[in-house]
Amino acid sequence: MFHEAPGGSGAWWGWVIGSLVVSAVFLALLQLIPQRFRRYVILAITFLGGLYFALEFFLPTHAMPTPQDPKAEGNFLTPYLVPFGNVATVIGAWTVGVGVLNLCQVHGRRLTRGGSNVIYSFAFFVSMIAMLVFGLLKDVNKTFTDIYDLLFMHGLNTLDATMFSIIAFYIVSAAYRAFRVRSAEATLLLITAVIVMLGQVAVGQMLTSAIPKDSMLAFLRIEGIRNWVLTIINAAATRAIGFGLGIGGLAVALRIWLGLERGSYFE
Amino acid sequence: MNILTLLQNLDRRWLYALLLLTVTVPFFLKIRLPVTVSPPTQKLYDKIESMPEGSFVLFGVDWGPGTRGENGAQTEVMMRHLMQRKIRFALLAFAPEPSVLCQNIAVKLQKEYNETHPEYGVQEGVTWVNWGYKVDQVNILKALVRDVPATVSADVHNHTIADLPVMKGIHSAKDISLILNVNPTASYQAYIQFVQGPYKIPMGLAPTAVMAPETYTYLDSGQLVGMLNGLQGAIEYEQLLGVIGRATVDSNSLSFAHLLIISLILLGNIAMLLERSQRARAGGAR
Amino acid sequence: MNWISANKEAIGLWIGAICTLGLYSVLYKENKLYRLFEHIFLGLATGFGVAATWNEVLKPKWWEPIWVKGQWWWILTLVAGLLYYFIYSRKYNWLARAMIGFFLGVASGQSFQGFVNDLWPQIRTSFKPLIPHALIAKTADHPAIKAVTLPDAINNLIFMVTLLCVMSYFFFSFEQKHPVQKGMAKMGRWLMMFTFGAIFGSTIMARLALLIDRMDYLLNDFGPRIGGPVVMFGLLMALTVLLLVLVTAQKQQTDAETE
Repeated sequence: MFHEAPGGSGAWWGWVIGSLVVSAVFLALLQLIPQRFRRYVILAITFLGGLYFALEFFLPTHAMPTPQDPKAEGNFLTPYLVPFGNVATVIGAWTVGVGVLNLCQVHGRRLTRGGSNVIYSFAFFVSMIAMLVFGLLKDVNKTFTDIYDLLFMHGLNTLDATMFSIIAFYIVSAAYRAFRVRSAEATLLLITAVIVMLGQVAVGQMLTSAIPKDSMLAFLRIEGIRNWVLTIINAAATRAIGFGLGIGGLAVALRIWLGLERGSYFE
Repeated sequence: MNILTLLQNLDRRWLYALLLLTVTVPFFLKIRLPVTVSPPTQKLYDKIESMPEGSFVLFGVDWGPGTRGENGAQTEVMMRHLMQRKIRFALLAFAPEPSVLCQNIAVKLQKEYNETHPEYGVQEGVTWVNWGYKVDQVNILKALVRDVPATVSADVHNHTIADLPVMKGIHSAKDISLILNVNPTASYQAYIQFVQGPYKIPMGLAPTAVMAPETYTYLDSGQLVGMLNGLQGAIEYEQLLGVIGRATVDSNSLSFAHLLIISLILLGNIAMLLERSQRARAGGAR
Repeated sequence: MNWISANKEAIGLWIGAICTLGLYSVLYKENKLYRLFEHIFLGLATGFGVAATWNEVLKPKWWEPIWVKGQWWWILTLVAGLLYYFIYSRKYNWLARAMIGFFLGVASGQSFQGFVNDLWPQIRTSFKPLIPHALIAKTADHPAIKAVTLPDAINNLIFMVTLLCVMSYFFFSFEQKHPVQKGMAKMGRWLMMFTFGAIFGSTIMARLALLIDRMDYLLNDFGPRIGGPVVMFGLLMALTVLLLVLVTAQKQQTDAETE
């Protein structure tokens, strides 16, 4: 059944339309499932989705040489990793329209209702359509390529970079007005922050540059103190936090996979 | 209005102006202050230095224009090193923008080195390739480690990668000598979990400074062989390579802006303490 | 060559500079110019996302197999992908949840391998040597064990104490009544301040780097277009002074009205 048919040929159209019809029938049949059983269908699909990767990881492996890797190991599920990955990728790619549709709904409503914000929604649509058109047709001719480059490199990239860079100003304002040492812990936080900040820039490192690097007091160099704080205390603390997050994440993953999780997605 | 009240009520826009001045003036200073290279940067540099010519590096780039200030400089300096060492690399992006941004950086460096150092032989398709943007990071990485040509299939120009000289001998993860990942988010963990961990491939990371503190635990465990800590890491790396790149040009501004922020924090706290003691004295006097 | 191609670099730099200054206008106060550029940004990003997904994913991995290679069965991935769009329908949105559930299941299945490969090496390397010793040469039973100096041993002790204290701070499974438990949790809280201070210091650098990159662009990339970096710097300072004058005038007016 799964034989290729030349694109556009009668057989191809037959298979494609047939698949769509069968899919539609299948979805219609799914709709016949009573409301109270739909949750179990979703749970079953969730379980099956995770079953492949869980089994592929947990089942014992044996030597499974391939032309690409004579020393490869795997189990009977391993050869399907690549096709499975490709299918999941393509399905995931189709979802790009979900957010776009939502944005178009919101801004479309604004356009049709009018008001003072119409110009912004209009600008949104113009820029979106321009980027989409020139993005899809950028290889048609050099002019289209150049317009696409202008929109992407100098429009989108610049706006993205600038938007993030505005945070720097807010940080300065917050550092001055909000960073107040009202407790011992805040003081410790501030001292550590100052050490890290001074130790990471040339001007700060100059403060202790008089201490020779190979002397007994070299540990007092600010960049050395910074490195010590980051590699010993910070690494240990973040590892501890990471353990907690990892175990918590694993527990949640197990609950989702086994259908023990409650929530609107599973009801 | 006394000075303390003025300081406490200072409009934020004066602070913005001060920051703008502090960041822009240093661009006109031509002095380059040397920095001490931190151990994580040194380790990454040493790792790449120790790799033989012709080795293959999987260069994951997952940053966008929003973090170009740090990640762009990191990507550029590591690419320079790889090109200078004649080490092959493949760019792999899990977002659309980095594929294009890093392609531009690589092409720019290729042009520069072909003019100044033709002996490096930098050539797209021969010494480097851009695998482009792929969706679904975990599935792609899991598939990639077993069969690179089948997973990637074509580069950004739609050339079949199996036909490219740069991909000669690269079939699976076992042919990859090093993973580099320039990443502003936590998605570098996918490389650790699905490529570095199972196949014990050395990995270097270039996170933004925000993410860097949490990655030191991976350095300690040996899962990372080295790391560039934000823009400072790029500055240190450029110093090791002996180049004056974008990061070094920005280093003066970085230094003075840091001093400004430290000064403002201290000033704000001093003003608060003085005002508190003034109020306490005024309350006591009554 | 047409006008756009001939002047592409100049046009690009002007677009970049106008976009940058347009967004920076929010630093004065929320205004219409900023909102306009904000919406343009949103539109460009949306359009780019769709175009890039088609060019880089759907065209090579779906369209070419289905049309060029004749692998008609890829049409089923379109059906599966379109199920997501039932999220907009009240009656049929359980189909979208089925698809979301599938990918949640996939992610959950992948998390086991992720957990093992991410955390087990960290658990193993958390057990650090606490007794200084010289290099232990490789034998048939074990690989070479590197030397541990006194400073290394002290650092390892501090590492392990920090790890245990911070872990005990997050231990909520039962009430911590014993003084040792409480002390460890309290110590963990203090030790975490080092981490938060490090994160704060690092965040400062990260954000400043982004601003410096923009200033680099305005001064060194765009500046030469209008006479050089010094001219651009002068322009930026003039704009800043103008805005500060407006801020001061506004404040004086507000103060006068209050009085």
